[in-house]
Amino acid sequence: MDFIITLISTILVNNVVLSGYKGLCSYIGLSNNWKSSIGMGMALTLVCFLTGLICWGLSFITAALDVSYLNTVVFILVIASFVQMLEIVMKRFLPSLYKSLGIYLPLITTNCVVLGLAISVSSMGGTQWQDVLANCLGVPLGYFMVLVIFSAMQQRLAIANPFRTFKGQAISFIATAFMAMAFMGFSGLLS
Amino acid sequence: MEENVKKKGACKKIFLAGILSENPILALTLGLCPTIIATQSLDNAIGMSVAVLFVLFFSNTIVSLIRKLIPSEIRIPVYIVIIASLVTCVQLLMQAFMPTVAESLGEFLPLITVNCIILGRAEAFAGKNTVGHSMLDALGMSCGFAIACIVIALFREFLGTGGWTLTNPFDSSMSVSFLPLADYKISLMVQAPGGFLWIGIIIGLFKLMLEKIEKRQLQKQMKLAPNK
Amino acid sequence: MSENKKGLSTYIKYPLVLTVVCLVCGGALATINYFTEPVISENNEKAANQALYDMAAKEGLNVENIADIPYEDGVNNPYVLVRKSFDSGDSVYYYYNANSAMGYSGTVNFSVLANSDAEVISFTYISGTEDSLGLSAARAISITSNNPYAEGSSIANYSAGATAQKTFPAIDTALDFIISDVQSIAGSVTPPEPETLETKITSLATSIDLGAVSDITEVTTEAALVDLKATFTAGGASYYYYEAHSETGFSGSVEFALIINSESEIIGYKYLGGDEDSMGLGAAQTIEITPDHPFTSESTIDSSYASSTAQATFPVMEAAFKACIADASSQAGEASEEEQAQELAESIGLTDISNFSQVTITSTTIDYKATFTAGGASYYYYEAHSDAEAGWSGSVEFALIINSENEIIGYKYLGGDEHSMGLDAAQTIEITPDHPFTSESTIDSSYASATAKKTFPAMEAAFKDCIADASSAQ
Repeated sequence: MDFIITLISTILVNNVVLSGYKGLCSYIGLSNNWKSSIGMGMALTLVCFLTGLICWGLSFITAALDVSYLNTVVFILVIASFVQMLEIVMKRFLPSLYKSLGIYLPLITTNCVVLGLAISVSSMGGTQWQDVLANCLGVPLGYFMVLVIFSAMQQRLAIANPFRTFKGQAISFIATAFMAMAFMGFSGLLS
Repeated sequence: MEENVKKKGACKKIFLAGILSENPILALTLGLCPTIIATQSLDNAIGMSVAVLFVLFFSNTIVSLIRKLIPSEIRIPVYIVIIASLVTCVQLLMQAFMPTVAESLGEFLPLITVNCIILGRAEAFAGKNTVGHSMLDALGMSCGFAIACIVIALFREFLGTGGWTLTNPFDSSMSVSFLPLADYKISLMVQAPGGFLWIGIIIGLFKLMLEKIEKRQLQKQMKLAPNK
Repeated sequence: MSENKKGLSTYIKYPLVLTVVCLVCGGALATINYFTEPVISENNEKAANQALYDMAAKEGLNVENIADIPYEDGVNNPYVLVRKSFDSGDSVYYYYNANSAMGYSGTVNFSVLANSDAEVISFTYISGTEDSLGLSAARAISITSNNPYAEGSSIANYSAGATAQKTFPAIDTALDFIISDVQSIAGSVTPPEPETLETKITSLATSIDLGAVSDITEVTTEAALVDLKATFTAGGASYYYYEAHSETGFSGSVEFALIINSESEIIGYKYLGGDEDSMGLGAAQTIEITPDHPFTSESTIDSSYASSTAQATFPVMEAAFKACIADASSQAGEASEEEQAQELAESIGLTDISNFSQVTITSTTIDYKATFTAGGASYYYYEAHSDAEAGWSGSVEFALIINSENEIIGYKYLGGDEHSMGLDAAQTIEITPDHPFTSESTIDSSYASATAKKTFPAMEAAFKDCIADASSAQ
């Protein structure tokens, strides 16, 4: 039950983009094309889930060796190598998906969501494995959800007619602001 | 003589580019992750800018110094390791000497590692240019980042807390505040929606300003060479 | 570029470059961490203690007599890191620094003040690993004496931002624990007493069954290794209490406390601490000295089974023990001789002992001579030692009472550095008024053990020397 509650909380209540301010680069850049949003969301979910668990395990090792200051370096190396391996695997076994993702797959390395997730689970102890699992699953799913919603919004924004310098990114941000406000309403969801 | 002028011009160009035409947040919309937290208050803005300056400057310098030694196939992991170590350095130093700033920046300090600005500049600029130019580029980018953050923070903090507060980062008990509208504050401005809103507004206004500057420069060029 | 120049194979070069870069970066980080880690922990500590004074000031309380109240082993304490009490005027207040339960993704470390009615009257956020929204919400929590948090309160705040929803209940849980904790200790807490000399001596004396301790007097001393010296009486006898330290053994010294009786024997020992190597310290804690197994100036601490570094510890402790004994016996000096004489006289049935006076001596084997009267007759009291050359490997020290007929009617073994078999044998000698030792007597050594066969003749000679001295004086 705890697992479900944390899962819902990470997706809706504490959405990583709208409440955690992470993953904005790819969020703004990607949502023009909803097909690539879906591909990106799925790839990100896979990467987040697996690297989150790996980094959680590694954080125990660094803590035992008393070198927790090396966490950031270790995590980013794990993420980079994992994404590289994923690229190679996808190229070999799922070439069409690889093609449709294009440049966005290597961009997962520099996605704040993944590193942010790794860092936040590194402070969770062994007894909270349910929370860790829920986080590793919920965070990318939340991102995925927001990405899909926003790409739908973008289609509307594309035909809207704001002031000329506000076209594109500026208006996307302002629209996101309202979405964030709407999501704040979820905060009383789990009492 | 002409080479000197050219060099000077190139330096100025590189530096200004970071602030205006290639402003990382407002023009290139890179490195947005720390922006919302950095624009929450003036202290955060200054703290984050200092951290980004430190990391960007040293990473550009180091990458530029060893650019000939690193085989190009593994340059990305090498850059990542260097940047990650620099970020951890900054984090440790800030936690030791500026604990309140480190506290309020929280988890976004290690997230500078995957800030597109830094990796992007290391890859696009420092890996191919001399040390001097890389340093200038770093300074310019950081200035641009700082200016953008501070401008947005000015608006957010004013509306969100009713004024501006500056605390000494080394000694958190010393602070100056100027809070004329404290009773009318809109706390939403210092939370998520306010952040997104004001980034959007400032980007829009900035692009307007850039447009005007470019138009003026174009007019200047046309005046200088009307018959070309 | 010349094609003939063969570089390293890519499989070696790339990992090599990466490894080098990683090592350099790791090294730099380790250096910086080495320098900043103490500063960071100091910052956290300062913040934690500062919170006490800040919160007290906010509530208008004076802070006096801060006392730490640690938790005992085995007590269930999932949240509290620091528990202190302090007085302000007539009331006792409690300061807690605790971690909340797990919130969204971390805990919140906070400090509170509680009064003795088990109400939390002040709250300060210190730090936390919780999600940033939860942390900013925690920072904003306001609890004051006008708005206290008591049993049954809750700080849940549904208008707080997203993750803060999980933070508030976590803090609630910790606060409830603190309240029940205050209820259990309020009123029964007296700040721990600092250890006084009396408590220290009493505890050590009780551990060796000396009885009630009284007349504790601190004595100044110049002895190099002695840190504290005092005298006290217990059960009618007087004792010395020493706190001393050994010289450097393996890498440091050991501190200990001793009780020395009037016979200059250590009858009680307590390990106090020290900065010696840990093996030495561990070994020092195993030393047992009791009234049944006293440590005298001839004893040694058996270090043959001691672990490596403890081999160096025991000798210096031995030396320190003996230094204390020497200090005690030099103090005892004349008084103990008189006491010893009295004791010996009483043991052989003499009564009404008086007029004890020391006599100067010129003999080499006699250490101390005195005269006294008892029951109307006059006696000599001698403390002497046998000739070391005549014995097996050393001399035996003893005390004698000689009557006016030049008969030794009382004997007491005092010690010596003779071979242990000889010393043991010397302790078996019995001389009483019914079986006196005269100038014609001998000590029967036929049943004596090996080395004792040499000891007895030496003692015989010494006894006769004393008799000769007594008779010549007459």
